[in-house]
Amino acid sequence: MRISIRTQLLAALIPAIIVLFGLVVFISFKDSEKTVLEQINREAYELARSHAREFDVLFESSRKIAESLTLTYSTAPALDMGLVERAIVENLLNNPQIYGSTASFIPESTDLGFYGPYYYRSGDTIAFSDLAARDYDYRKWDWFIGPVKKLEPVWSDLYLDEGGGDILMVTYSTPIFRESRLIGVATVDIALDNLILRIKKLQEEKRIGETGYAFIISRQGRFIAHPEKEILSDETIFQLTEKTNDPDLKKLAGLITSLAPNFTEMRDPFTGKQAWVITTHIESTDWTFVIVYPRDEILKPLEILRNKIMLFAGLVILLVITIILGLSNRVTMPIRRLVKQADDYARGHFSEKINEDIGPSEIQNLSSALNKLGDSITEQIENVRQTTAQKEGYRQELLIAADIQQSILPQKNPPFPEIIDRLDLFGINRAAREVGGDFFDYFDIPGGRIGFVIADVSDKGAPSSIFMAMTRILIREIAERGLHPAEILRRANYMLAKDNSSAMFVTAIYGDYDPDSGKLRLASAGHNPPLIINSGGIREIKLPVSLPLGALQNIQFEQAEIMLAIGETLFLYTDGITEAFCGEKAYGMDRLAATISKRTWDSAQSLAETILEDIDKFCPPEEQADDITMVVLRNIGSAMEHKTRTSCIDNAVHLILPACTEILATVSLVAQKTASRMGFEEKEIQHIILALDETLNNAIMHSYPPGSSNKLQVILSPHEKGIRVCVIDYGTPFDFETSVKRYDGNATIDQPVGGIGLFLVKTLADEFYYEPGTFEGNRVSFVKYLSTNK
Amino acid sequence: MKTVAKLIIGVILGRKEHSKEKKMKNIVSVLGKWTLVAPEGRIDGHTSPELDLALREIIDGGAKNVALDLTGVEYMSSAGLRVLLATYKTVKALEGDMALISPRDNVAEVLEISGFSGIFRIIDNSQGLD
Repeated sequence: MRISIRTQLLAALIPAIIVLFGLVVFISFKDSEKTVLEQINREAYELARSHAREFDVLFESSRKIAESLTLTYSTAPALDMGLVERAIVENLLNNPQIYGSTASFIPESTDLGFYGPYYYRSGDTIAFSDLAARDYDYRKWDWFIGPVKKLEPVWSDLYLDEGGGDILMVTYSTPIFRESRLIGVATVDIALDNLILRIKKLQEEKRIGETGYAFIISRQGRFIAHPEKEILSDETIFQLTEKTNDPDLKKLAGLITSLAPNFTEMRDPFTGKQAWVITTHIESTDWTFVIVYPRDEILKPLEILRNKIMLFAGLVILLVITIILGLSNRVTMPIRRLVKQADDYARGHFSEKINEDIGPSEIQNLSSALNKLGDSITEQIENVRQTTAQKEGYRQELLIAADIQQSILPQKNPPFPEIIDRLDLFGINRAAREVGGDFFDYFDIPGGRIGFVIADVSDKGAPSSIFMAMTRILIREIAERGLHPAEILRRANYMLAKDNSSAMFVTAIYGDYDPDSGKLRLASAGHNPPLIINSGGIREIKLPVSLPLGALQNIQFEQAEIMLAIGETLFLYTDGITEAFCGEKAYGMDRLAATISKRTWDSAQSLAETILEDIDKFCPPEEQADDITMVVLRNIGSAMEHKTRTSCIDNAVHLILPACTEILATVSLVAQKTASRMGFEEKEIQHIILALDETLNNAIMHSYPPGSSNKLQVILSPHEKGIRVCVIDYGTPFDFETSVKRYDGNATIDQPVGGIGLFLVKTLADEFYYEPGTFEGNRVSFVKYLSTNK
Repeated sequence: MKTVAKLIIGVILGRKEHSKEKKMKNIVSVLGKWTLVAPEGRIDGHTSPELDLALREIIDGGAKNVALDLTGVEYMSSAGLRVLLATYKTVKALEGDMALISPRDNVAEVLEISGFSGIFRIIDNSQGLD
């Protein structure tokens, strides 16, 4: 998923801030809580202690008053009622905290008898009450019995003075000794209303939080100054604990019994709220001062603080978000503009510009680069457009050039309609590029002959096409003067090589053909040898070797003369055919020969087209690397002769024979029949037989080792002018030139035996050739004309 | 294109018997100092060794003057010429002579063309022998 910069910043910063503030809140809260609790503890403890001390002070002073009263009675020289009562009243007058006081005597121990005067405050005055009255009888009361029995002072439990107007009081009773004898009990009543009021006021005045309160639990477990519990009517804490089995109450009871001051967090058993409970022992009375401070009130300021911090944190987060949004917007806004710019570019609007002065320097650099890119692309597009237009222009020119080039090649088909019955001629050129360096040409030359050219300029394309055009015109111009082929090439070469600074050259074959006789004259300038195709197969014509045209200025050319018999085909081609490469593999001579041999063609044009089709099968035309050119020249005889040719073809004899002398007589017979049928005179027939016999014998005797079982071929090809006899052997080639010269027809008695046979053939035949090592074997052939043609 | 007519080897072999019949035959007789030899049929590369052998045997048998009656020779190639030349050399070395009697036209032409008519003695009939 794609995350924007903004989201990433927020995702990274916000949790960090939250965690940071969380930690701050947590730590400060804990610290503050601790501090606050300590402070509360201290304050509450102080509060409790001061109140406890007040009690202690009150009770201690009260105790001392009682003690001094007792002392007065112990040390007085004589006890009388006046002294007793005066001392009591003085005590009351001097000690405002004393509510009431008495000295009650054991009736039998003193002279005073059953005597118990009690003075107490009633408003602003001091009132008297006789405790020895019948309805009271002080001897029955705990405050009297306690000290008498224990012989030590006793604090009474709290009680409500019903006589004096429901005043909560506590009484200190101390035994009075005189002369080490217990004589009675002195008491001071201490009114606790003030203190209790003050404790209660703590709550009212909200000294202990809003709802905190303080109370005292007496030794007996009674609740003093408790906001809900009545001191005397309600049960003690112990009774309550036992009754309710409340664990909080039990805990509170435990705290009370422990004398040490305590600061405990617990649930308030009375209100059910969580609270801090502070207990302080009031030593003088064994009471416990309890402060209940509700926890929520203690922590209220902390919560306020925490809320403030959280509010602050929220504000900070809000601020950070705002800053991040602002910042990321500032950072990403230019990026977004860049993206839009890039989109524009993608849609091809390269002229769109963006403001380069916005955003941080990196973005500005990027904007600048993008603008430059746009400019550069616009420029490039313009360049490409221009180049393409220019190239298209060049291409158009090239196509025109190609048209011109094709148009200077012979267009007419058939090229020589007036001799269509004798000559089947077709040329084709397919350039690898728009224009090529190959060409072919044919034209009438003096003497009723046909001149023809096939040529291949070194290199391809436009330069070679110019050279090609030049060569073509030159050759045609020279050829029309009726010169023989070797001379035509010599002159053309001279002109081309002169001032040939481009160092281009052209391989070519120039030939002329006599459609009447079938005679071919061929001269080659470094061109690949042409082929002769006939019923016997395909053979290469080895022409005299020479340099290509244009290479060297003064060179001579040689020409060869060949008879093209009826039915025979001359095939001229450029190496674009045999060297048509598909990958590593060349089309090659073998495939060319195989294609020709399939004989699926029946005219010059169909042969050329068959070959072209096969080349395209071999390698697609779009991969053609070199120009392809062919000229096919077929001797098809005259219209009338055409019929003869057909019968001649039918009568052509193709013998495959074992290379042994046994065959000689038979071949002679076949030759005789063939020649006879062709209409040769008897003498001529004998000549043909003899020439063939000699040729054949020569091949048998000299090409093969004795006893060899090899084969050889004899081909007797009749045509309208005569018979062509060919002997093909597959043995060792022999030196024809030397052998021919061994005998010159001047016989002597010391005549060596060799060469006579060849001499006879040479003498008897009208044409005589030897072609060693063609791909068909060594060929010896001769032609014997019919006498009517001589 | 019309198919090329071919005479295959089998046909030739089938006609071999016939060609054997045409093979050369030699008839030898003596006329005065001359030993008369009359070969018949073809004298070509195949048959010439046979003629050569026959002539050698005759010469080895004491004949010095050999007359070849060519009336029955249908055909002669250079192989035959070589036998004649060899025979001629041999008898000349023995101070004998060789004569060719009435060759047919075609054989005479071969002798003529080849130039051998210039060195061989060719006569019309055996009456010409001295």
